[in-house]
Amino acid sequence: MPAIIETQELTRRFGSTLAVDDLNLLVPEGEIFGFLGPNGAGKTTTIRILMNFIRPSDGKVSIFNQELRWGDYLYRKNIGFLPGDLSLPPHYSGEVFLTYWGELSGGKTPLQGRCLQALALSRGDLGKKIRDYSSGMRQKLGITAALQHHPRLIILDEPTGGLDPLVKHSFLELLKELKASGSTIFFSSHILSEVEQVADTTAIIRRGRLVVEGKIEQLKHKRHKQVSIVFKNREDLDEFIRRYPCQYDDHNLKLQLISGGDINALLKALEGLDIADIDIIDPTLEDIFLQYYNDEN
Amino acid sequence: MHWFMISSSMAQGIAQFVKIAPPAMRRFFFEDNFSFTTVQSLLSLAYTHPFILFLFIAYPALFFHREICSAQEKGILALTLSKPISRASYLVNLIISSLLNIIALGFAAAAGVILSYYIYNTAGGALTNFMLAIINLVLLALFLGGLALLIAVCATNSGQATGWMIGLPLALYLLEFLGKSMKQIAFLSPFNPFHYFNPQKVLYEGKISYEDAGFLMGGAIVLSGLSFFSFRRKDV
Repeated sequence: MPAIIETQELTRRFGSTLAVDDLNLLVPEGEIFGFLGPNGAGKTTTIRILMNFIRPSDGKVSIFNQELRWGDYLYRKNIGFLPGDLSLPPHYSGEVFLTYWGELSGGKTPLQGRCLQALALSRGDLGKKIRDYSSGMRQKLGITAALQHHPRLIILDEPTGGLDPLVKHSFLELLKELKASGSTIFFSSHILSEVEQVADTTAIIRRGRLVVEGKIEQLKHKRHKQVSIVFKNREDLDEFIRRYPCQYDDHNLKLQLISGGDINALLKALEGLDIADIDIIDPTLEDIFLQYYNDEN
Repeated sequence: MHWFMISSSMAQGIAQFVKIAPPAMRRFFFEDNFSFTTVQSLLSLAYTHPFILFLFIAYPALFFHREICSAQEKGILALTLSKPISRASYLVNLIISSLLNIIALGFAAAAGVILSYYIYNTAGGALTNFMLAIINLVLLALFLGGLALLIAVCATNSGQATGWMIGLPLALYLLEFLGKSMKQIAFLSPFNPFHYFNPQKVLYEGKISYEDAGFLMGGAIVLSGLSFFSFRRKDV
């Protein structure tokens, strides 16, 4: 699948601070791409470079297969963008803002109705001035403004902040619909569960550097699995512990271990032993994330 | 101008203050013909001290440019530029709005002067000379508008921009004022926009010199050009 966003050795310094360091990203077209990292990892800086708000100190960015040059702006016609620190003109009504924003994107807003429905934003709400909106309503309006023109590429910086759980759920469903209709979604987050729910591919960034990038399933496969084994008899448990010392529950003849990489090695080690039950648990994205961060520590 | 001053709550406040001021202070104001209580004397004060005229008329236009910093601080600039809008067209729109603002204020000043000329029968000078003085003022506002635009584009926050926008014109005005009596700083005068703002001379001679108009207009264009250059490079 062709890449819709590609960065090569992307670097951005702010004085002596290295915000983005030699970042190589590949966002395939038609996917939901989760861009993960804790606060200050360089997610927003990367997004600002993609939007041409700031220049990279080094490296290249290609969007829609075109190398991005400083001053380019027409490519943004096919982009829906939601900033992390959203601020909207307070004196506009929601409706006027959406109309105005739609016109700036070419005038067509085929997804406005669907977005409003998914985000539970009523026409009555749209009649109010933005200054009278709650922060959650402002976020919903910002999301609608970013998605309503059905852009080819959607860039969302921490989009679910301020949304209640129900709306968050329907928002994530909306992202899946957009993906199904051909849009590519690049969204940054530090909430791992929501990335895991919708993203096809994810990249984890730490101190501006890419730690890992890949399909979530591949990442889960690559990383450590939690294995729980219950033995039928005491002798087999002792035999296993003798060869592979690990913690165990003497009363239930149960042991728990972390298996790294290939699970076949473990299964081979269990050959000939009498097993009552075995449970292999894939790591969650949160586990993967924490493992990568703990690796550094 | 009159309309602007009459309707300004500040002028009314000053008038009230003068009424309740101690007799010695009132004598100072009235006997020196510096009364704030009549529109004629306000006009007189404005022409005696051009900077006051400038404060009343040009500052609202000058502050227009602070909007860039404010929009950047609030994130609205980034939101706007996330649309297919070039930085140049954003700035052009801002300059057009600012120009309209300055021109509107120029017309308001002209309307005020015309009213005062016929209603209060202000002494001295032909009406066309007053209009030329206002054009001189508008040219100064354009120069300072260009300066404000450059400050707004280069500043990192609106507080910094406001400080420079107030401080720099004030400093320039003071330098020009002091330059007339202090030879040590007189050499700076040719580089100062207030040096080319001479409403008394315009009223007396009935013309604006090409030198004055050229410096103010040319300065406005150069400063706006520098603003474009800086805005193109600015991190949003």
